[in-house]
Amino acid sequence: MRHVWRPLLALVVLAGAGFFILAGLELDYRLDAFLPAPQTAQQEVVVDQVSGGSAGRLILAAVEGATTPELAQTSRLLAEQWRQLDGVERVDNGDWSAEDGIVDKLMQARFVLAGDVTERVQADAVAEALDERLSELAFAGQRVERLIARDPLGLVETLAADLASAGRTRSVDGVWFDDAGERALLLVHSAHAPFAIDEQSHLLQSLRERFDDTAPDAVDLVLAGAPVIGVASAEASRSDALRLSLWGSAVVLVVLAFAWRSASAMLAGAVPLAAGVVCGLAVTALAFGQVHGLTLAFGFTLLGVALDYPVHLFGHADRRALSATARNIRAPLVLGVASTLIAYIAIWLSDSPGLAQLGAFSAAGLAGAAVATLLLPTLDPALPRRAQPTRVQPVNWPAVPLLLGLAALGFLLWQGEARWSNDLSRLSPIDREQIAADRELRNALGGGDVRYLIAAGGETLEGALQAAETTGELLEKAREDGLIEHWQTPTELLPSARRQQQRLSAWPDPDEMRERLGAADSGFRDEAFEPFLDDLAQAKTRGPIDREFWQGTPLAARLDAQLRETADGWRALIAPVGLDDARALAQFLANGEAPARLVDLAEGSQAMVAAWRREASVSLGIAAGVILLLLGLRLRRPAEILAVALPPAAAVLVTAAAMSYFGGGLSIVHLIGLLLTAGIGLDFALFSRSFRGDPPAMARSRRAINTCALSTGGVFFVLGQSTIGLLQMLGLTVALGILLSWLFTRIGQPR
Amino acid sequence: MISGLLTLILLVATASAEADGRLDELVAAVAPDGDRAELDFREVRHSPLLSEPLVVTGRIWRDHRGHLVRETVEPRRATYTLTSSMIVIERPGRAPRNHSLAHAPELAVLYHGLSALLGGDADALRERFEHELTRDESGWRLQLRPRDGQLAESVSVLSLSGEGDQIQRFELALAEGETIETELSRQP
Repeated sequence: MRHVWRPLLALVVLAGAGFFILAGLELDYRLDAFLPAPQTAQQEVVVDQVSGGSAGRLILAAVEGATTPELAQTSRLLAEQWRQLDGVERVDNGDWSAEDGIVDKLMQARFVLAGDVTERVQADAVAEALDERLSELAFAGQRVERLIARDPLGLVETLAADLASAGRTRSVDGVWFDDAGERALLLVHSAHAPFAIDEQSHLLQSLRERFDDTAPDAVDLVLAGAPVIGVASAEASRSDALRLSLWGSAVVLVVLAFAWRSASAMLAGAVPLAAGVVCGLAVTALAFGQVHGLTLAFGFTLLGVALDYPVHLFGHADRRALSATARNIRAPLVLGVASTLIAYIAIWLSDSPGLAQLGAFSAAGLAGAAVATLLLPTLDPALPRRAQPTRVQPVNWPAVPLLLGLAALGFLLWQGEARWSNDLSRLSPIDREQIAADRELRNALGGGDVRYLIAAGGETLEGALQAAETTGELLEKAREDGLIEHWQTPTELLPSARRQQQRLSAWPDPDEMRERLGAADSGFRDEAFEPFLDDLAQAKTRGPIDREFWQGTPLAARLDAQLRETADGWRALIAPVGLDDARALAQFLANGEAPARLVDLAEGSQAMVAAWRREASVSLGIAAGVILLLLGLRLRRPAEILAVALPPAAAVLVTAAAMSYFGGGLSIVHLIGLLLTAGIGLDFALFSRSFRGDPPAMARSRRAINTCALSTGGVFFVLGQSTIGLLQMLGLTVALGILLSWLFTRIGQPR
Repeated sequence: MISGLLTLILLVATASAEADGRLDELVAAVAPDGDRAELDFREVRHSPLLSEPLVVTGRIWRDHRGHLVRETVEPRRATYTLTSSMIVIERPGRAPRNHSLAHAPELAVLYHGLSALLGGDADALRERFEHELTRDESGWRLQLRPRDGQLAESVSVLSLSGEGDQIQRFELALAEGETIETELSRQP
C-alpha cells in the first residue's frame, strides 16, 4: 500500500486544481468561435446568422388532428398560453387581434408605413375605401364603428395583413394554416441563445406542458426548428458520450491491469494525463479567459497522446530504479513531445479563436503531461510486475509503408477537391430525419428558404434602410419577371427617414382630407372621421418614426433580426420568399446595380469551412516541415530520419485516403484525428528506433508500444461506435491510424 | 289542496305540450319544400357615423350542405357563408376570407336559429334556444334566447315573426343595446 498514497494524493490535488480552474472558467457555446474570422461581407452575414441569428431561436410548431375551426381555436389559445411563458420572446400565429399593442402602434405609424399615398388619397380611391367601410358596417355594425371613424381608408387592416403573413401563408379564421388546411402553424421565438441547450430544453418542455393543458386530446403537436434539433442532439450526444466513455475507460483499465498488474502503477499512470488537463485548462484560461465547449471536447481527445507516456515509462522499467528508466526514455520522449508540440502550436497560431484555443489547450496539456511523466518516479509508484518480454526477430519491410503511403498520396491527389467535405451539417450531431421534418414545416409556413438572404449595407442606419428600399424597388421588377414571389424587408416596419418624410408630405392637410372624404358622398356623416383627421394632424407634427418606436411590441424582435449593426455600419436583411432560381436573382440584382447582394448561407458556410480547413492544412504542412527539420537536427542520419518519419507519415496518408474514400470526404474532424494519429505514430517510431542497440530494451519498447496501441486504439475504436457522426468520424480515424502506425512501426522500419 | 296542485301541474304540462306542438307545427310550415328556397332580405342598420340609416339588401337561403348563405347586393356584392363554426366571406376580385363564428356571436345565433328553422329542425331549435311562441290576429312571433352562456352574453334575443308559413322579419337584439332588424320576403 505504501506505493499507493503518493500517486493518489497527486491525483486528488490535480483533480482539485482542475475543478478550481473549471469553476472560474467561462464556458462559451457560440458556434462562431469555431468558424474562421470572416473575410467578406457575405461571410460576416453567415457568422452573424449562425451565431445568434433569429433562425437559431425559431421554434416551428404545427397543431394537427382536428377540424379546421378547432385547430384555429387551439392555435389561438396556445399562442396566448405560450406568450406567458418565461423564455418566450414572442409567438406568432398570424392572429394579431390579441395584440392591442401592435394595432395601436400600427395606428400611429400607418401614415409613414403605407406606400402609394398619392394614389390612396385620389378621389376614386377614397370613394372605394369608404364604400368598403360601408359594407363592413353593414356586416359588423357597432363593433367596427370606432375603427372606421379612426381609419376610413383601411390602412391598418392592409398593413397588418401584409405584416402578419409572409405573403404566402394561408390563413384560416385569421391564423396560419398549411396549404391543405390540416395543420395550424405557429412560430415561437425563444429568448434563449441557440446554444443555451439547457434553457432551450426547459422551454420546449414548458411549451409541450402548456399544450397538453390547453389542447383537446385528439390534437397533436409537432415541434421543429433549430432549438428542437439542438436539444435533441445534445441529449443524444450526452447519453452516447457517457456510455462510450465508460466503455472506453473499461478498455484502458483492462489493458493496463493486464499489462502492469499493479494498482499503484495504474494510479500513477493517470497522473500525467491529469496534469496535462490541468496545465491545458490553466494556460487556456490565462491566454483566452474563456473556453469554448468544443475546445474542451477536442482538447481532451488530442491529449490522448499523453495516455501513452506513462505506458512507455512503465514499459521500459527493469530492475533499476524508475528514475533511471525515466532518464533512459527521456531522449525519444522529449523528441516526440517536441514534434507534437510544433504541430499543436501551429494550430494555436490559427485565425479562428476556437482552433487557437484548441491548439493552446493541447500544447500546454501535452507539455504538462510529458513533464509529469518524467517526474513520476518522485511519486514512488510500485513497478509493474511482469516477466521480461521475449525477444523476436524484427521484420524490416520498409517498402510496405512506403508503397502504401505513396499509393494513398496518389489517391488523395487524384481525388482532387473531392477529398474535402465542406458540409457543415456533417459536423453537427443532428439527426437527418429531424432536419427533413424541419424543412417540411418551414416550407408549409412559407417562410421560404432560410438559406438565402438579401443583405443591403450602409454606413448609417438610414443608409442601410435607403439601400433596402432601392433594392425593394428592384425586387418589384424581379417579381414581374417571375424571379421572386415575395420578400420581407425591415423597411415594412421602419422605412428610411427620407421615405417617411416623402409619405408624410404626400398626405393632404387635415382640412383638405376632410374635403376629399366629404366629396366621396358615401353616406357617412361629414364629421364622422374627425378621429382620423386628428391622427393625421398628429402624424404630420410628429414626423418620422425611429427604431425605438417598436420597442415593447413583438415586432421589435423582428426588426432587430432584420437590422444588424456591423463593424462599419448597418446591414438590412431582406428575406426572400418563393425564390426558385437564386443565381438568376443574384445576377438580376448585380445587373440592376442594387446596393445589396444575395447571400447564400449554405454556400457561405461551406466556403468558410473550406477556408478554415485550408488554413489548418497550411499550418500543419509548415509544422510537418519544421518537425522533419527537428528530427534531422537530432537524428542526423537520413536513414534514421526516414525510419522515424516513414511509419507515422504512411499511417496518416493511408488513414486519410481510407477515411476520404469510405467517409465521403475529409472534414476538419478528420484533420484533428489525423493530427493525433501523427503524434502517437511518431512516438511509436521514436521509441521503437531509440533502443535498437539494446535487445532487452528493444523488446520492452515493443511491448510498451503494443500496450499503447491496444489501450489508446481501443478507446478510440469504442468512440468510433458512436451514433453521432462527429464522434464516429473521430474515433474511427484515430483507431485506424493507431493500428496502421503500430503495424508500420513493427514491420516497416529499415534494417 | 292537493287536487288543486295536481290541476296546476296538469295545466302547466298541457300548456307546454301544446306550445311544443305548436313549435313543431310552425317549423314544419315555415321550412321551404324545395332545396333552395331563397328569401329576399332588407336590413336597416343605424349608426352615428351615417347621415341616414344604411339599407342592406340581398338574398338568404339554406344550401344543400346545411350552410346558411347570405348574399348581399347593396351596399356591395358579397357572399357570406355561415357554417356551424365558420364564416366564409367572398367578394368579387378578392380571396375568400375565413373567420371563426366565435368572434361574431350574433352571426352564430342567426345561423343556429335560421338554419334550424329553414331546415325544419324543431329539435335543434329546442336544444339551442329557450323559445317562446305567441300568436295573434296579425300572425306569429317566435322569440329565441340562446342557452349557450357565451352567446347569451352578446345576444339577448332573436325574434322572428311572420304570418302563416311566411317568415316576414327577424330582429336580433344585442346585449349592448343595438338592434338589427331584417325584413324578409319570399321570392315569387
